[in-house]
Formats: sequence, structure tokens, C-alpha cells
Amino acid sequence: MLRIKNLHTYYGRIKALDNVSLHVRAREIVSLIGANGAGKTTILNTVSGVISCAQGEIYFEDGKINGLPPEKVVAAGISQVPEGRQIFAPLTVLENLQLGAYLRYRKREKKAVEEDLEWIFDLFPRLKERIKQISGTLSGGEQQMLAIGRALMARPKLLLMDEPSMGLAPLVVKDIMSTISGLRNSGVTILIVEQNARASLRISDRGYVLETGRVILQGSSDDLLNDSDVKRAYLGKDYKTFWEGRDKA
Amino acid sequence: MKREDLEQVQLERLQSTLNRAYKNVPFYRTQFDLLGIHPNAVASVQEIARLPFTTRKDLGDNYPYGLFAVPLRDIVRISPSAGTTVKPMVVGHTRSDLKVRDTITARFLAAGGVVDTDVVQICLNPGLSSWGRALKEGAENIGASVMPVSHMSTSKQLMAMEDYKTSVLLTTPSYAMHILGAMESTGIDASRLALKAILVIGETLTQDIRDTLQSSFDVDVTAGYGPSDVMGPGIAFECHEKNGLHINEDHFVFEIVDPDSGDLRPPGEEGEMVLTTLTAKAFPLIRFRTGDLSYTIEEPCPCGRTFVRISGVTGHAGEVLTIRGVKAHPAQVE
Repeated sequence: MLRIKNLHTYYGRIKALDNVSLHVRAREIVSLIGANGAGKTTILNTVSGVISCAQGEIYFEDGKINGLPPEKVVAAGISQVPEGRQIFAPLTVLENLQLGAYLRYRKREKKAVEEDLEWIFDLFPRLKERIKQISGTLSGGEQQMLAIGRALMARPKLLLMDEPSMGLAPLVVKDIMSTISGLRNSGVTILIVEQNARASLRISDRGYVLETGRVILQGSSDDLLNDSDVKRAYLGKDYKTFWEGRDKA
Repeated sequence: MKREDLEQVQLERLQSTLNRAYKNVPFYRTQFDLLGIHPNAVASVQEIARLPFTTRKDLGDNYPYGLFAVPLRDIVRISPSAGTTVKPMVVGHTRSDLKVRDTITARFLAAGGVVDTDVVQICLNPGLSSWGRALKEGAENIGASVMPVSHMSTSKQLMAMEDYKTSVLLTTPSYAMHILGAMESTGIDASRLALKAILVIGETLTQDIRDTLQSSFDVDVTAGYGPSDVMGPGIAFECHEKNGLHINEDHFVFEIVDPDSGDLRPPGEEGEMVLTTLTAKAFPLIRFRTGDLSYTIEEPCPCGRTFVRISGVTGHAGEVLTIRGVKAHPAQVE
């Protein structure tokens, strides 16, 4: 569904992505893990059209989307849940959700949009309870649910999620992750960027590990969860970093 | 897997392999730097041709652990081999590498018809012991009942085959012929055996040998290929069409080059097999010159697999000899 080839992206003169290739198949959940600053958010923003790449190609369902403005990318069926939620704080829960479906009103899908509102409220009953509440006053976990709900209102084929666990309490993270995992049943394909590698890999099929703008490893989530390098770097296992047998040379 | 999807997977795995090799293995970093090439310049699998070759001499020069791309504590299997230069060679595997090796071996075995109800007997000489282990573990993973390599005399091997109702024999073509010879000279009829398949590795399976074995034992005979010293036995495997070996292209990129100039040969023309690992963690190999001569078979295989086929090994480049499956340098043969 999504195919990225040889992406090079710069922020001014700083190279953020160095020859990155990855793909996501329909109905998969794929994780992008890596340290802060590795380039994970940059990948999502390049796919969304928020920033442009210097080199490389992005294909979505066989159409080239690199270079398209963000609204065209959304229209193609890709929706992003940004880092830090970025819900419209002064607006109510309902208004945020309605805005998520903005492009669909033009297509006269009003009835379908209302059905989808019901779907979101089924997924997130807490949002229904707070339907008229000003979004800025919601808790972190509720805001995350709202952000996801808003992205889903566009009925995307591919959902890009940027650090859904960030700033949330462990129990809430568990909740959110399990909701994301359940989204698979609604036919959504998901690419999820996370610093919480363990939580993310647990609900994913496959993952890519990014380090200073480069993919250094990929594989099934099981393989990555069991990989020594991943364990050391991202799953909190403590190891010495020098190599025995080599240093003595 | 469709070709298009395979090529994407290959590109991704190649790029991460190059990134890891460049970062963790000083030998590769130096080689690339000398040529002024950085992994980030490789935008397609074909562009691998811009990278330098790795030879057995390089492996020997970096004895013992110089080419490992992971800390020693991650290596769970150390496989030394006599090597083909003055120094021996050491290959390492991480746990994930062994898993990959088992997957590849399973493909070879399954393509040869091995299933969990089979009784598998492995007959290999000590020089191929790391292959013996790989095949044993691969067959165990399929769930077959496995008799690992044990160094019995041919008559004992035959006794085992008859008594234990061996259904699959894993061996080299020459040893299979040797067993046939032993049977004929002791008057044992093949109908006393429960064999249904013979899978061979280590040497080229000629049509003559295949025909002889198939008719004498009344079994299917299929072959697998891999450079014995550095990789597992199932780099490429024959399907039931028995016309060429499918390369496991999701784990290896192969090229056929002119042994002298190093230039790529046109499709279908004979040249030296050059292999690059896509999923090896402990011991990534980039453009490794196997010394084996082969050529690609361009037509799609009727079996339906999209992995490209190569012919069996047609000869050897350079001074490397293969003696009963084991690679050796002439100087080592006294």
C-alpha cells in the first residue's frame, strides 16, 4: 500500500533522512522505532506532504505522492495523528471530530460522517461523555483518543500515528495501544512511530529501526523484540558497549 | 512473492545491511571509503555493482573475528573452517541468523519433499559438519525424525537406512553413488529400503548421477547449493521441476560476474557467483566471490516460484578446489 524508496530529507543543511526505504502492506501495523531525533517523525511528515524530500519516491497504492501538498495526501486516503496530539483546543470534542471529516462534507457524505461519529464514540465512550467539552480541558489520554478519532473521521486507508504513547501514564498507554491494535478490524492500515519500542512492537506485525536517519534493521516484531541490539538500545537491557575479542587486538 | 514486492524487500534489507556493515565492520568501512562510496548512495539492488568484492582472502586476513558485525556476546554459534588460504576462517551466527538459516534450510528440504513424518538420515563427511548441523536443525524444525551425521562405515550407514526405515537421505552426490556401489557389491536390493527422496549438496548433481540414483533407488533426487565454508547449504534449492536451483532472493542478492574482470555477465551467461547477504547479522557478506561458476535461467519456472533460478555449479574460478564438497586450496592438499 505504501512504498518508500531512497528517501533523503534535509532540515536546512542537516540531513534528517539518509536513504530510507520501507513499505507497509494493506491491513498491517508497522512500527518505526528509534531514539529521539532518529528521523521517525520526519518520515511521517514527508509522507503527509508537510515537508518535502530532497530525493526519493513515495508511492501510495501505485500512485506517486511525494511532492503532493498535504490536502491531496489526505484526499488520497492518508491521515496523520500528530506528535503531541495537536487537537484544536478551543473547539469542542464534537467540533474536532467534525473537522476531521472536513474533506468528506464536500463529497456529500454527511450521513456517512454521522455514522462514523457513532463509530468513534463506540471506540471511545469517554469522548461521547464529553462531547460538548472544550478539548483543551481534556486529560492527556482523552486528548490522544480525540486525536485518533479525528484522524479516523477522514476514513483513511492508511493511518500515520506519531508517538501515541508520549506523555501518557502507563495504564493509559496500554489502553491506547490496545485500541490501536483493534483498529485493524476496521480495515485500517497503520504506520506507528514510537519511542516506546516495546509497547509498539507488541501490537505490530513488523518494524523498522532507525538510527540517525538510517534504517539499520527491520523484521517481524517478534524478531525485533528478541534482537540483542534492539534490546540493548531500545528495550532497556543494560550491556557494556565494547566488543570483547576486538579491543584486545 | 511478486517480483515488485520482492525487489522492495531486497532494497530495504540491502540498505540496512550496508548501514550495519559500514557502521560495525571496519573492513567494509575502509573498503567503501577507499572507493568514495557510502551506503546511502545505493538506491537500487543493481547498484550493488558499485561496491567492492569480498574474497576468501579477505576472510582469512580478518581472522578470527574481524568481520563480525555484532559483539561477540551476541554470537551463539562459531563455525571455523579450514579456509582456503593460509589462515583458517571463522563464521559466526546470532540467534536470529540461525533462525534464518533454519528457514532457508526448510525451504530446501520442503522443496525436496521432506515432511514431518519422514525419517531423515544425514551422511556427510566431517569437512561439511557445519552443514550437517544446519540440515539436522532444519529437518528437526520441520518435525522430521532425524539421524544426525555420525561417522559410521558405509555398511553401517546402509544398515541404519534399512533398519530405521530412512525415507530421506541427505548427502553428497558422490557419497550417494558410493552407497549405491556398496549396495551393489554386497547384493542389497534397493527395494529393502524405505527411501523416497535423496537430497544432495556440496557438489554439482550431474544429470547422469541424478538419473542413476533416481532409477536405482526409485526416488526423487534434488539438489541444494551454497558455498560450504561461509554459508548454509540452502542458498539455492531445486524444486520438483529439477531444472535449476531457485535462489532465496529474499535473503541473498546474487550476481554473475566475469571471474577475471569482475564485470557483470549478461543474463544467462556463465560467470562467477557473487553473493550478498540481506539478513545476516553476525556476518554480513557483501559481494562475496564464491569461486563457483554458474549461469541464470531466465525463464519463469513452471513451479510458480518467483525466485530466479541458477544452473548447478559448472566449474570453479581461481584456485579453489571442491573435494567431496569441501572447499580447499591446492596448497593445503598435500
